[in-house]
Amino acid sequence: MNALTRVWRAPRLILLLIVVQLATAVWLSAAVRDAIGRALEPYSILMDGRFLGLAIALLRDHPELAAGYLQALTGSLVISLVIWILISPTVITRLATAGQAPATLPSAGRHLPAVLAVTLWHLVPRAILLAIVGAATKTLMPHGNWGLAGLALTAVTLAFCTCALDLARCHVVLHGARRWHYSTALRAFGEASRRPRVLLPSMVWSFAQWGCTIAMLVIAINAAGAGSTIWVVRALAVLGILFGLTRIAVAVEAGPDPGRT
Amino acid sequence: MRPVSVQRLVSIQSLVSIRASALLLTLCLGCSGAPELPRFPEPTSALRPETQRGIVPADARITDYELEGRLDAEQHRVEGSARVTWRNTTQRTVDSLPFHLYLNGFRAEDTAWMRTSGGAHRNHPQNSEGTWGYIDIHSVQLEASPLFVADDTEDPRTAVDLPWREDDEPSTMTVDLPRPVGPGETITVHLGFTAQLPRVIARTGYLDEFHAVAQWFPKLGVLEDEAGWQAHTFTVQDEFYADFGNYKVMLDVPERMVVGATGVRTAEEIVDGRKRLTYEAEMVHDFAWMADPNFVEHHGEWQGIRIRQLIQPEHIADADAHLAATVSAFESYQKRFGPYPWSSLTIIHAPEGAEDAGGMEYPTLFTTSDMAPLPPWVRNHLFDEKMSGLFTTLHEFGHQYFQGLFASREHLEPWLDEGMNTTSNLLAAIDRAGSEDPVVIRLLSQEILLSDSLSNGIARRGFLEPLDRPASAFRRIVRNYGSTVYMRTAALMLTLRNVAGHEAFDRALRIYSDEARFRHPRGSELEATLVAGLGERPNVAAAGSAPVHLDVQEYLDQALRTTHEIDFEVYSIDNRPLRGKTGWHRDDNGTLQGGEPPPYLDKKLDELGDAVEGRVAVRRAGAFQIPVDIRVVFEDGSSETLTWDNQETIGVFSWPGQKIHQVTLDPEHKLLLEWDRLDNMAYDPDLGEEDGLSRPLGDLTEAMSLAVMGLGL
Repeated sequence: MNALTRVWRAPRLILLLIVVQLATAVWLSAAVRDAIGRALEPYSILMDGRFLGLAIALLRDHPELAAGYLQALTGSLVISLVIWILISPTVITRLATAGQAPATLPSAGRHLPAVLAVTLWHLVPRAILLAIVGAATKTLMPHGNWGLAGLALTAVTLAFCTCALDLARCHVVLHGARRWHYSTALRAFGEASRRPRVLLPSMVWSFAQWGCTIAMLVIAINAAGAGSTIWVVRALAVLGILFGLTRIAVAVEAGPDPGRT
Repeated sequence: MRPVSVQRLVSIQSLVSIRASALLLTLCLGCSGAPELPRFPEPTSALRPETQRGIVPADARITDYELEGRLDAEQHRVEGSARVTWRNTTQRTVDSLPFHLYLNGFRAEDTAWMRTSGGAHRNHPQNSEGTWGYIDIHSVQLEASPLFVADDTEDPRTAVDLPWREDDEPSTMTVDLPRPVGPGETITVHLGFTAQLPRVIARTGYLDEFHAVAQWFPKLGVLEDEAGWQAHTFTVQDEFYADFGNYKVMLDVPERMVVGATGVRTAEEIVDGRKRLTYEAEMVHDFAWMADPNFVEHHGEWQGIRIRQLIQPEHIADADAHLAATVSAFESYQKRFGPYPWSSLTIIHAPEGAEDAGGMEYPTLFTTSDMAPLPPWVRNHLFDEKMSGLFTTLHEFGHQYFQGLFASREHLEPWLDEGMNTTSNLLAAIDRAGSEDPVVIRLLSQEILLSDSLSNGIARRGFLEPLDRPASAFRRIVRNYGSTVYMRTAALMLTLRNVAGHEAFDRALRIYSDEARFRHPRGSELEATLVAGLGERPNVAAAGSAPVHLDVQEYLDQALRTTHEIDFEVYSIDNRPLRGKTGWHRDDNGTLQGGEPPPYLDKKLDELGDAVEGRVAVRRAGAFQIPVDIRVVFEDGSSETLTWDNQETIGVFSWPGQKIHQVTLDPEHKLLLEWDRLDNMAYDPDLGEEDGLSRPLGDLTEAMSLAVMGLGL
């Protein structure tokens, strides 16, 4: 079974994730929308190409709106991290058992602490790698003249780290890897670098997922004040979830680390 | 002694640095075919040819300086001497000479500069290493002249030691003369001094081998007929005020130094590892110089004026952009404010860590700041801004006029210097963009315009205090100097330009500029020129509206000498049935007749056709009185713009036969002084129209939330 098939065979999981994510975003933005409406009432604003300037003026004159805006974004990040970490063992188990009876799902919860631990351990080498890449970029392209090459290098590093994290989590949930030891997180980096047939598809799906994120932002910023494109943005968000799940499914599909003794 | 090329790009010293290694690589690559940087020869005269320089009045030349300075780059110290020749062109007789000793502002904690600044400038605090700077006068002598021979027995060739004393505030000193100097008389004094540079603070000082040598010599005050000697104590907001004159300056610096200075270089020689440079400048009121072995030269030219940039190697790629901004500024300023009289312009880029030396103007020389480090693909496709280095270049260029050429009393009327300079910068930006509201920041397709930026600049802090006050009256703790002096002046001038007419305003400003050259103009002169140029009460009504007149002097009084703010709001919109003549009326016999019910009873407004009346109430929420345009869009899509003279707090207007759909105050955004514009537009509340901002901002929030949540997966 390939990774895509695993994703398609878990339709209720996909639906659940899409609903949770879209509903959270709508809920958070509704508060901002209402607050702005109340602050402006009874006045209106003609856009005539000045959206950004007017938005800044509004936030300048109503700092509570700026705080609400920040709160919405911070809330999104926190909720997202909590949700994804909480359901990560479940997602991995569900993708691993795609097409079978989901009886194993409740037991996935017992892997949560170990997934949390391996995620925390993973952050250390991730930070070191990013620091090295940052320093290399700065040395090669000094004085802030960072360019496309530096950006690409950072993106590749992030995608590599993401693949390693997916592998580590899968080993904890599916293959009985050491639950608390840092070596589980560390070995996953080695495994990712040794298994290009896992790494490359994982990176491709990562890039696709991030591409959706970037497209969402570009479309939303460009269209702001000129007409609503929110449904296009939501569609891209759904696509991003599918790409993300497929990326995790690549790690599930990879199975145990063949290099592990 | 051996002459060296004035076009040396890099000093030997710089080759040892990593930065310079990169440059060396670039130069080596250049040897293999890359085009060389263009070079332009040093001008032979400090002034442009007579046909190009514009009016340079001979009687404005009052104080000449011959200066010598030897830089000890290890101690960051200049040993110097000054020969100062002063002509008394006033009707006053004086018995003393006041000198500025600006560097003494950095001498100790208890100087006026340190007290008023809190030991920091532009958020750059004093550094514990090399904090103090000072200027120490060794000697003051009167040059022998027949004028000062006391009697026949005294030798007129003998120089006389003069008594001098630092004032209570050491940023000035007073030299007593042996006898008064009357109108028309000339004297020459010699001063010996040591200038110890501080670590870079407030536009001067050193950082490693970079030396910004400004305000480094004793500088004579300005004698005015009405006010006597003007030599103000140096405080944090005060800048510099001096008479025009000719300068001849001999500098002695380590050979490795690349030097940029006011004026033109007329001689250069190398002696024992030292470089001796001679500079001459004509009709300037200051002389500054900067030295750094790491400077790379970049040359350009505009109408024979040499534009020389001394830039740090890592920013050489930005030099063309700064040059383009400078050339564009030359074109705009020459047209708007008259000919630039000098033959050279030097632009200095201070190194990283010495940013407090950046963004400062001296005659024919200014320091700028670096552009935000954005690669071209980001600037072209994602994010671009015109507020960092290029605006600094434009601003400091503008000071070549609004300081270098006009030399108003910035310490007394800062709005006339910094404020009018900012006004001129924005006019130059308008010229360059070919738009009255150019883009300042662009994020993808979204833009922040000049008017947005100005509005943010003056919001709240710009109106805490009146504008027309001495620089020292603005206290640092209030933090309103920039928003008031720079931004509010620009906003009030551009508002006047928009309301009274672009052509008339631009013409008046040109008249002021022509009269102000080398003349230390007063604010009252600019005001009088504007009143004369625009008319005392020009009609400022929108086309088709009844005449409404603006009292220009009253406008300037409100804008400069009060804290009044321009603020209008749409107070109320109401569409109602048109009141007719139904009901009981007496006929010719005195008998009540009629009594029919009004036609609108039991009818909706939509069913009344023309028997409706639209009314709007607008409110002047700010104390500032100025006519404002009101645009009303009716239900049928037609519109009408009228101008409200704004003599009362609330104005009510009605349109029988029309239903009002939307009302906008100041629809063309003429009133740049009005920073709160969120209440300037409203729809008929019965229409239930959206506010225009909550949906797009809400959508953007949702999109960003979704994007952020995607990162967690």
